Amino acid sequence: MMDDAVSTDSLILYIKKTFHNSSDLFVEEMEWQNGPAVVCYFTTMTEGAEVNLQLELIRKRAADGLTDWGRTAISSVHAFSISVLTESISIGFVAVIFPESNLLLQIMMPKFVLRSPNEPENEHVIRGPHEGFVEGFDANMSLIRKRLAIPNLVVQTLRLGNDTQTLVNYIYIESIADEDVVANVKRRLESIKSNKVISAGQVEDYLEDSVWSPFPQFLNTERPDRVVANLLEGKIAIFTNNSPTALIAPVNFFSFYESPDDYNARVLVGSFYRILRILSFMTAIFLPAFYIAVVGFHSEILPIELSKQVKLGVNEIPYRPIFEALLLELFIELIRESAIRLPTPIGQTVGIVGGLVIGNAIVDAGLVSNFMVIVVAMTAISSFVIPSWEMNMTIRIIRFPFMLAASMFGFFGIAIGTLVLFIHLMNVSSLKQPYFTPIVPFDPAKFKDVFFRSPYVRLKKQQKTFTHGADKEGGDH
Amino acid sequence: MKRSVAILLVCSLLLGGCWDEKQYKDVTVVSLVGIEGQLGDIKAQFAFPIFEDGSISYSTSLGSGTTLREARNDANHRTKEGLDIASLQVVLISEETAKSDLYNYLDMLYRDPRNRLGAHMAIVQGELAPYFKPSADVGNDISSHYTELIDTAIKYTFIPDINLQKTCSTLFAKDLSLSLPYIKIDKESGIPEIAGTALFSEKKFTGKTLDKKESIIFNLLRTKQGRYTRFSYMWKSGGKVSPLTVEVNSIHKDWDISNNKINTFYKLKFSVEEFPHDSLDEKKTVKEVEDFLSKELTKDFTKVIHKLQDAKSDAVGFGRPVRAFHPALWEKGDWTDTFSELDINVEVKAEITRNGILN
Repeated sequence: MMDDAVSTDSLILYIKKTFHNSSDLFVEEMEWQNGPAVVCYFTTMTEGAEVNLQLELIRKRAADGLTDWGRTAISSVHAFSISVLTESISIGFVAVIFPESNLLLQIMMPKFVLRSPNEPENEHVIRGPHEGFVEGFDANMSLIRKRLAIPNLVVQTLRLGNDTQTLVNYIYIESIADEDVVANVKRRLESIKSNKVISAGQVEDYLEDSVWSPFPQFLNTERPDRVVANLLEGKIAIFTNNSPTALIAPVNFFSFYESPDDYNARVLVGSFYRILRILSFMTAIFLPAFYIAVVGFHSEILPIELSKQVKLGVNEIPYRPIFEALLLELFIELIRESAIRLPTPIGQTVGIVGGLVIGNAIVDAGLVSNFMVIVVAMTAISSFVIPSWEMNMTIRIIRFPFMLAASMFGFFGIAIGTLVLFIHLMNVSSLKQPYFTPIVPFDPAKFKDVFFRSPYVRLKKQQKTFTHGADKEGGDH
Repeated sequence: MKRSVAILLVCSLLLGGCWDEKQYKDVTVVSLVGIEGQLGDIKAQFAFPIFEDGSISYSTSLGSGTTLREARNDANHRTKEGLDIASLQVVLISEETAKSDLYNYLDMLYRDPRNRLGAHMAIVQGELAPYFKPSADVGNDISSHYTELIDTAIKYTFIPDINLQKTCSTLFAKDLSLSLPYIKIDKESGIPEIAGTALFSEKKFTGKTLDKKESIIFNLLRTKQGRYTRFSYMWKSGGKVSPLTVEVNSIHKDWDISNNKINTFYKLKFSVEEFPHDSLDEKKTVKEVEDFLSKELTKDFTKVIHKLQDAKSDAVGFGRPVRAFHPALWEKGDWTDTFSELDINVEVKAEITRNGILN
């Protein structure tokens, strides 16, 4: 639609109209050596002084008579088109239009405010790096590249969401990652048809094999060291531009129980805490159900010394154990939820008030038995040791069906529930890779790594979470 | 339609009345049961804790009926919550009751899968009632008195370690007789105490019992030691007299069974626990002590065997190897009869392996 007849004035008016006269839009005509040029950019995303410097540089190149005067490290020249123009301005580039020659010079120099890479609040470690991702992909990628100075680290970028134009990047190590899995991620990302792609959680929804499974199929992390460790195991990390969270897949169930601390700590210590965490899976899911089943069905299994105290505790409770459990569990969930929303100092106060004062008072009032308080507290603590927040939430939710089953059928209910749980775990997949490996399918070589953190000096094989036929049969590498 | 069915199903979860639910707060945990009377007219006593206002007190209840089960039902007439014997610790059976086929009274305990077969059993002298309310103060929780009494006695090799489950299998064994702890109330103190071992023959209590020391020897004959097995003797040798206490470290038995005779040889290793005479560093003294012990123990062992034969109770289990390897002897007739008339020779050899940290 542009032709030579169009004056720069009308062009400026046209651009202003396109951006609805937004007051942070800078559109001005300026002199270029062979005719007028129109400079436009968002003042909120680009710094004017920097623009002047860059323009001066490019003007000098043009004056020197270079044929490719517009191409520098951060600028390029395109044929003019309205769509390129609006797009580049929208994402924070500077666009310089030359109506005479029908060219568009793009200077990429957006400037966004970034948080400093502090350690993520929900993934603290004792030893090891205390860096975390921020809300910009470039900064995040630099944190990764810093740790992986290899040419095989590949970044692929897609732009998703018609309205939001969100950049989604997936990164992998070409020589280690399984190409089928990479292709699979690409296909799934490309098939996202949504106008708004805002968060990593949303992308996760689209990518998951089974959305309705309670188990997370992507490992969310804000720690660069964790991403790097996973990339080196052949996994793929997916970043959404404005989110500090990396989604890592394909993962298995046990990945969620590994913490960078394990690998920074010494072998025995790391192994001990890893085993402790996996055992906590059992208590977190089964303990309340077990208590309900014992009190409601199988009191005979209590040793006589303990049974008197238990009976003393439950004798005056006016309702069934399931209500007692639900009351206290929901109460704990309330405390947890409120503590998250409140600023840290107040959050701690809520914890103390909720945990100590009400916890004690609720027993004295005869609403729940003291054993139930122990059980619920123990369960809550067991679920909090899981290093991954999503798995933590999953475990917290899964125990409710178990409690229901236990209150209806006792140990039988728990057994059936466990059966269903494990059948489900065996069927879930993460990017079409088995979720419950190395237990099902059984992989003896990796089985021990679930429980033990083997010493580095012993790790000879390339660590891959998922083996494929060829690797397995080879065996000798 | 589908939705309303789903809602109904979800709501049904909130209802009570699940079929085998047994809320702990609705049962009374009976830890001690006593049985007396004869079949057709059984009296059963139950001891249990009562929970009220955050404190525990103890009570007993009496029921009678044709069978134990009926007697328990009957006792429910008088208790607040239903009696539940799933955490049973001790079963006391009166002497007179045990003189008829014991299994008839116990059948109910084996039929219910919830019942605890690890419970101890004991035969009591005389009537049951004073055992549930002894005149002496043995603490509020009478059942724990018996539980711990029996546990301790087993630890010190006073009585055979036979629980409800072993009772059943022993009752039906043709080659082994049952033996149970025997409890009586001490006349002076009024405290129920372990008095020895009650001997059974063919599912029935013979009325004959072993006293305290015989019980220990009986357990050694079975080579079933508790953690501690101690004997005291007044040692006499050539004019020298000294008290002597020894603890059995290990025991080894060797039975030589022929068609009309059983020669038994026991080798016991002792550690000396008390011996003021001392000079155990001399080989001669050690030899003297060993000879003394061998002689005394042979005498005591033989006495116990005779007592068992007298009661027609093969509680040591000579019948086992006889049945397995000596069919001629086994098939002579009913084993208990054969056993009571069999010539059984005992020889005990004592060896002192430790003498404490003195010398």
